[in-house]
Amino acid sequence: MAEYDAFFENLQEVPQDEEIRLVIRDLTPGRAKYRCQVVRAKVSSEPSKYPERLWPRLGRGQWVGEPWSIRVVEEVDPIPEAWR
Amino acid sequence: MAYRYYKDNREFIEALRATGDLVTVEPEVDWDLELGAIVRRVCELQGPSPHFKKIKDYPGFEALGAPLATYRKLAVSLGLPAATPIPEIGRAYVERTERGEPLKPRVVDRSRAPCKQNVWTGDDANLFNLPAPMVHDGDGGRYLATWHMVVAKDPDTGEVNWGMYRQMVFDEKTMVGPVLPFSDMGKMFFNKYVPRNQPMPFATVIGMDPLSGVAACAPSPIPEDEFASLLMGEAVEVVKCETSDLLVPAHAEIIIEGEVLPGVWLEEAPFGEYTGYRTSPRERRTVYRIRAITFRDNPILTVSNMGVPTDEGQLLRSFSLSLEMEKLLRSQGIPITGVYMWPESTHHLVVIGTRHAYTGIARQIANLVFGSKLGPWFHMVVVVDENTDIYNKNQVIHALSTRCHPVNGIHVYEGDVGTPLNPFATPAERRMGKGAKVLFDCLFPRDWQPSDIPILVAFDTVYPQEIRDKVLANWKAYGFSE
Repeated sequence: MAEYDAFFENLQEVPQDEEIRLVIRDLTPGRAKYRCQVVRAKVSSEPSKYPERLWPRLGRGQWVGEPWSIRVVEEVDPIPEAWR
Repeated sequence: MAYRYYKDNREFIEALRATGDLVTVEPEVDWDLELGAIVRRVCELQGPSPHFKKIKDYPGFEALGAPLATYRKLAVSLGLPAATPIPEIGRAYVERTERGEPLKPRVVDRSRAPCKQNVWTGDDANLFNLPAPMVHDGDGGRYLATWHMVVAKDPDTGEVNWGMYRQMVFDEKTMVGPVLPFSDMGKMFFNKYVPRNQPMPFATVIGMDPLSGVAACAPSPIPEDEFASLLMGEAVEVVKCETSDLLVPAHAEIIIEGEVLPGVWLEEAPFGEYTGYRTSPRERRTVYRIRAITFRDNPILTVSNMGVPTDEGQLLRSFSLSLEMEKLLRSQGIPITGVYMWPESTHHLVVIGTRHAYTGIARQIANLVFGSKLGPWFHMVVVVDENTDIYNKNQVIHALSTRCHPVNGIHVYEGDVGTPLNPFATPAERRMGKGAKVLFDCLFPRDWQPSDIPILVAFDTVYPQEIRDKVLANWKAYGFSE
């Protein structure tokens, strides 16, 4: 199971079970740990609803401690084509 | 005339080793928090710089932590004895930067530029091939650039800027970080490149010689590459980038080249900041797209760890901000006796000593420094008389607590420029970059009668000279050790 984390200003305001755009960080150990990705994904506060694990943090990095789940629909390249 | 200085990070490491201000860390350390935790503890203990010889996942790379986080190390960087008192270090800085003639950097051939020993372009230019540390738990990412400088150039005048703008690794090719609009690079980027929808070439220089780092940290009135020459007494040696015509210090450890993108924003932060807090939240910030990485053999990444005092930013910004303020005030003929910022104030509080030559002098001083280019970086001015030792915390706290009238002596300035990093600022002030400032006037008013002015009761002020001499001469005979 892949594990990610993401930063949210207010967990109560995160839309669940609908496709949203957000930045997640890949927590896989190794050189690329903490790589950020802009993705379209569905998230849920239910830890087993989606196949991957998502650890929420608050806006100033506070560790929430309770895992959520996430399904990544696709990675989005945030850089406009002209600048890639 | 060249002063004694260190042309690269490696000579500086040896100099710190010789003065006992460096520890070689032979066991492997993890870039994921362990390295950062060591550097943090060193900063809090004001200890020797750790030179990490082995970094997990990154064989061949080394790191130097807290390279300039004490006045001892700053003195060494200037070629002075490590134990040089702070006022003397300040005098050396002022003399060199006021009396010298700034020199344009000297371009050297790439064969004489160690930073070109290895060149990565294309897919090899991958930020995850560099050992960016996770500096603090809870940071928004891995910060490759914590003790470094970003080189950029004005597209119209060609004037070069070196500045320290933190950079977080976003992905293999992308870094992101705040570029505040009132900063030198912010003015250049947002006022010139962005309106033309033109990417701004940049080069991030990591592990430069220490005086180039001091220059990049300083609120210099001239381009920092020339300002560095004032500190060194000779021109900085630079070499042309691979992907742009920017010039970078030839002896630096690692160069990351690329472009700052107009109209593109990505999430950055939070980050443990120089104020000692994670204040600015995760927000969309300026994007750096990388094109090439060049580096020396066995490169040594330099790592600062911002947090509670004392780190490089706090110490060097306090040092150079106060001395640039001193130059400004003297240039205006204000009869100041000195300017000092304690690094522990995270360069928010400046103490200015002055002769009380005329009524309103404290406000004039505050208006000048708050209104200058230096103003956004601090918000508290304490003005004391010429008899108060501005470097002596006890004396300044005593003056502040006893001479500053809670109504007449405190003057509040609202609606000024501020930074989003101020922990005390309201969320709205942070969003808009608004600030508030305050002057603590610790001068007894000039319109008081001499007989109204309280007399300072201290050993040096209320005993005749002969009594003081006698007491000092007999101190040990009385039974005291010191």
